[in-house]
Amino acid sequence: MKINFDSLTPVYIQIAEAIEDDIISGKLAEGCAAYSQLIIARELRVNPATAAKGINVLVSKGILEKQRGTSMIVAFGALERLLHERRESGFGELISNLVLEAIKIDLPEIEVLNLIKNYYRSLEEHTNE
Amino acid sequence: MFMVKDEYINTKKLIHARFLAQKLHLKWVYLVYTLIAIGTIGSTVVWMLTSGQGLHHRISSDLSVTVFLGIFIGYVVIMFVYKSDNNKFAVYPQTNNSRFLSSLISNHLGIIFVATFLLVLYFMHFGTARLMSVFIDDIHFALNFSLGFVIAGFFVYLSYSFLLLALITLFGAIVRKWKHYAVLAFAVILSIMIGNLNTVIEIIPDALAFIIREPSLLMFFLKAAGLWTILTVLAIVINNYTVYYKSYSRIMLKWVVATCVGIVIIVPVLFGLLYNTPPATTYDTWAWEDDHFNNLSTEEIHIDLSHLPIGSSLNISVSENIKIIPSDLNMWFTTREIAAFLNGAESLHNIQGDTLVIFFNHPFLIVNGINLFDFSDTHMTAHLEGDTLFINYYVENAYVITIPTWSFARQFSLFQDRGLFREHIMGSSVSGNMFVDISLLVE
Amino acid sequence: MNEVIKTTNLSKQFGKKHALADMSITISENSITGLIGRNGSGKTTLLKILAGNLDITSGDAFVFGEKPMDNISVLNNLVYTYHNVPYEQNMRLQTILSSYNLMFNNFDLEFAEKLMHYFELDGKMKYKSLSQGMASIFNFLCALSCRAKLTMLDEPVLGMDVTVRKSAYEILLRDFTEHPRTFVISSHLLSELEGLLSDILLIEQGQAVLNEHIDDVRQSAYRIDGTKSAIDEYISDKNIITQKTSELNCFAVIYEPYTREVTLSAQNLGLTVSQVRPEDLCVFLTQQNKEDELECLW
Repeated sequence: MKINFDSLTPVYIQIAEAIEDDIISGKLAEGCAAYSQLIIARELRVNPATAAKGINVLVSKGILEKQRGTSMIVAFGALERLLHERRESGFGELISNLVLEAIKIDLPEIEVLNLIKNYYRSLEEHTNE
Repeated sequence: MFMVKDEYINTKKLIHARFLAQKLHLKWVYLVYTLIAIGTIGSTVVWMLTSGQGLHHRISSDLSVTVFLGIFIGYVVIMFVYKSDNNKFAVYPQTNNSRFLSSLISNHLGIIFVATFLLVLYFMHFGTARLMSVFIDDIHFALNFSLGFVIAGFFVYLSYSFLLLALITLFGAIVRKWKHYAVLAFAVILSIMIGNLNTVIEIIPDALAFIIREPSLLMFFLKAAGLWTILTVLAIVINNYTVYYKSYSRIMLKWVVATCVGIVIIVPVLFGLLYNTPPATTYDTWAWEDDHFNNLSTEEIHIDLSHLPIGSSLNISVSENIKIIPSDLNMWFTTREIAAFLNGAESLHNIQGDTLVIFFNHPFLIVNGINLFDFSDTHMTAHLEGDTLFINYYVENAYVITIPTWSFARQFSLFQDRGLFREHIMGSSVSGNMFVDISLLVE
Repeated sequence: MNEVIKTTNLSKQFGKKHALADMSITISENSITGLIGRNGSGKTTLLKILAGNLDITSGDAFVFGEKPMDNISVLNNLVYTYHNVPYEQNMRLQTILSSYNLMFNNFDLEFAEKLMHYFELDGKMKYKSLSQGMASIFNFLCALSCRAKLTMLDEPVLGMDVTVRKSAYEILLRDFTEHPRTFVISSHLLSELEGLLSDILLIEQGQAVLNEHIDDVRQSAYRIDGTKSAIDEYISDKNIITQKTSELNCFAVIYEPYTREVTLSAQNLGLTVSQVRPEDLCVFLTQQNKEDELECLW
């Protein structure tokens, strides 16, 4: 987890997204404790308020839940929801960036599709070896 | 409400914090005065061991007066560079009043420490001399020792120190409040004073007489406490209405002004206190010295010359410590030597009569009103051997030590006429050796 | 959230000069506020007034809801320190720590001694023998150990080298999480501080230009780079802070919140959008246009 202060994405959003990445990759399991505000503040050298903001984003999205006591846990079904969200909006943004870039360098649609297919093929060959 | 409870607690803490800083300065004071003490005691011991035969006198300085002067210039400077002195504690929580009070109290505490140290030094010096006097018979003390006086004098010293400190504090508060006007007024007063210096020197002791001539110890303490209270309360009130800016201080100029003002306050006050102090004895000392001079005991020694043929001559042999002088020559003598006139010496070459009479006027040496010859017996002997007249002068070995202290306390009737002080503080009144007049009368 | 510091129309004049002019700001509890401004902008004056060290010309300043000057209940919970606090010069550091311990109720002497050890300062050293960097470290650790409810640090890292600075920030942040309190840190090096701040107070010529949460400040502006014509078209209806045109690059800083739509419309014109760091924003907001003067130097 690393914060890029030069990014257009606000710091607290970066924190939220990093936690989401860790949930998707399996580092944080559902029903288990997530990172606390203080740990994030200390490790990433950010103000605890900013860390809290990032966590709250995830709480309002239903990804994290506040449990009795003080710890935050990963909500049940969070993984499912995140994957769904990434497919819907996150992935869509990647697509639009790809297409716009292709248009910019004058690459026709057919070529773009071919490049995608070729890349999938090469990945399959790599895993078969 | 003058201060809230938390401010009193804060004042106490500030005094403690100031003390931690003051300790560093006090260490230097202690070091310097210890060195002075060791030097004084050491040189006293050396003096005693190396002075040889005769009458010797040693007077050590009145440390309490020196310290009074030295420390006060220091405190005046501190009160005037109040801001830069307080900057050292600026980071700690404080209010205008807690700052002022803590500064005031810790300065007073500092004085108590120095005065106590002076007392210790005095006892060290006196104790060493007393110890030596147990082993060396010839040691005499010019001043009497009284423990009650030493303790009382300590408190008198503290009272004067506190009074002067309160005065300086008030002055500092006035200058900080009214700044330019105060300095202006002060400059005007100063120039008036300088223009009429003689009048000033006369007036100040009279103005201060109510306290510096107060003969009763108890009344003195009451007056001092009252005066101190008035000065201090005034200073506190004035400071209460002064806004304190922790920024801005043109330090160099301040130090110069502070030192000058300090000296100018101190000098006239000290003049008043010390210059015209009453003598230690209640009677007129000059007259006393005249009387003493006039009532010299004169010894006569008769020598039988009848066995000598008329017209024969005598030789004179005097002991080493008799210096024969022509009548109008100024010579310098130590206390073991005397000068002698030989009147009628010519007649020794042509003896006519039967008896020779030698008049011997016992010498006296008065230093600060103390006749040193009170401590040492002197006598003359004269005898004839063949055709030589031998005249010998014996001075009993004596070391007279004067260790003065608390010279301020001479104003009190309780301490007068008890031989506790030198006659005058500043400078000693010295009567020179008296000339011994050996007159040879040939009847 | 409590307002630990609140000023209304605060003005301070030194003779004719206005150090602070009509400043109205608030600082909330348990925040870390960066007090940013150029030299002579009034940072130290503001801090001194809040610390009760300086009188006010007009307006009000409240700390913990009360006026700070000569107010012992406020002052006991406040520490104001800078890089070269004057102490009795011959005092040893250990004695100064004892003085702090005496004067501040919450002072953690053990913590201070551990920090001394961490920064390799010997308690037996005399204050006057410290270099500027060491003095800054010492004053910083003393202020931190006071655990005062309001801790104001005026350019605390002056003279510290990079490694030490990084340690200082980390220690400050960590101690803040362990013992929450309100910090106001005035500094020139905003980019280094940025991570640990929660709020920014930017002042210029005695006036408050920004007094906001740092996230809001980060979001409040963005930068576009591209051709001059594209920029000119884009900024025609926007609030800009600054615009620069030169051979290699043209850019403009737009003083409006950055949103997704912004990227789209900018990209349509062939412009690239990027973040404006708060430090740069502060510079843009307060710079006087001396670029022509700069060019004339050679």
